[in-house]
Amino acid sequence: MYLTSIFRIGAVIRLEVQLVSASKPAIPANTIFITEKAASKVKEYAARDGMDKFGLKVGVKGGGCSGLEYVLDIVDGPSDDDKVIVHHELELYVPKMSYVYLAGTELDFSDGLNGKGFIFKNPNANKTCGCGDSFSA
Amino acid sequence: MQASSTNIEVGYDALSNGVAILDRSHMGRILASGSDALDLINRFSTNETVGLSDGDVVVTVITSDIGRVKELITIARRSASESVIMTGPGAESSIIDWLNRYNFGEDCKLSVITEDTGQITISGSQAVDLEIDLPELDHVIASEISGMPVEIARTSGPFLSSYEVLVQDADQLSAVWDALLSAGGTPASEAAFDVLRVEQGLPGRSGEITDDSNPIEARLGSYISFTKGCYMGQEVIARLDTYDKIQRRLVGLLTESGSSLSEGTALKADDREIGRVTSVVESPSLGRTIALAYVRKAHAQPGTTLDSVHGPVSVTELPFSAI
Repeated sequence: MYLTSIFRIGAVIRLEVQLVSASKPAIPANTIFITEKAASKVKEYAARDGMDKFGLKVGVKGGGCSGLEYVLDIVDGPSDDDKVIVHHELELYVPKMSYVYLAGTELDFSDGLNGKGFIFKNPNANKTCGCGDSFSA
Repeated sequence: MQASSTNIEVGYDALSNGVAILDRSHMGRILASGSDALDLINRFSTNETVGLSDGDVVVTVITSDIGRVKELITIARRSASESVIMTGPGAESSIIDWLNRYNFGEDCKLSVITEDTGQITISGSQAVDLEIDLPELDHVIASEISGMPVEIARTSGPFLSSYEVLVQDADQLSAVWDALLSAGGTPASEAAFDVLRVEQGLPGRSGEITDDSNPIEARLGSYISFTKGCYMGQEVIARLDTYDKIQRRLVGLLTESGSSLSEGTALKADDREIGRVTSVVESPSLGRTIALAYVRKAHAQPGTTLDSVHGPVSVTELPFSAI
């Protein structure tokens, strides 16, 4: 099931929500974008788990301090109601019910000792909780 | 609906020394089905509702994003995929709408079963005299009363300690009521329950547990898990607790003998309003009017005298019966 905890991918994954900076070109509102660095990390985790065919499920579910929280999971294919988006040769599977809260989002990765892991830059988030894992829209 | 005694003293005596019964079928009941139902509720309420066993009963508070009370609910888990949720009167639809708003394809179906079922509250020290199956605290059991299928849940509060008899078929409510009556139950009114509740310093749905209050100030701390992790409103509630940021306290008020009070009355100190009366009853055991009130923390010390349009009142420890 796609609602598997984000931590199933690996303990290093953490999420943070940021409003899109006005100085940076916005991601088109009709898609979800993943940076090359984030896509590489997903492929690295999939390879570590011995997965040949895979994609990244990107969704939201009710929860967290602000009502909505992100869900990431590496899966072997899309579900029937998933919208499939391809960036950097990585398939993103976005459940249609989640898409409205994620359209225009950029998924990035911050590494290093102080890195934040996977970061959602979601223009739909109007409030986020302190740890950044939860948002309202 | 079953007729209950309107004589407060009869119900009061039964609640204090015998066994009282009250038809509470007007309270809300929801059937929660699906393997994700309790997990979803766990993400939107203060207490831990996952990891329960079949037959467990848990009280939890659904909170808003700013940590205010949306509804206090009692969950009786039948199985991993089915539970009965007891709510306040008329609160079912708003709870269902609220939770469904955050359900993105999870296995959770919430249905109102209030009209199809019944609910009778049993309370009092002699409940065992009814000779029906009684569960342990915070548990629910399936049983029969005079051959009619019921579930009996024992709750730890926050209201008067009670057994909630859930009658599975509303058409059998009268027969179950008659059976409890024949077994020695004394019909009591909601007003009699309210007198005992206020004497014991317990919050009620009408005055204290409102959407203007947070669970800590409403004395619902027993139903908050501070270790379960995130839920909507958790950051606010954790901050209130950690930094003792509660601005007002629920206190007891003693009036001078012979004087009265009314709900909503403003309480003043040095001509400044510092609180409001939330519940008022005539206490048979104390022989005077007593009340619950939210007052600002600085004026919540027992022994403090506050002014009201009805005369001076004295802040006292809760529960009242301790004085």
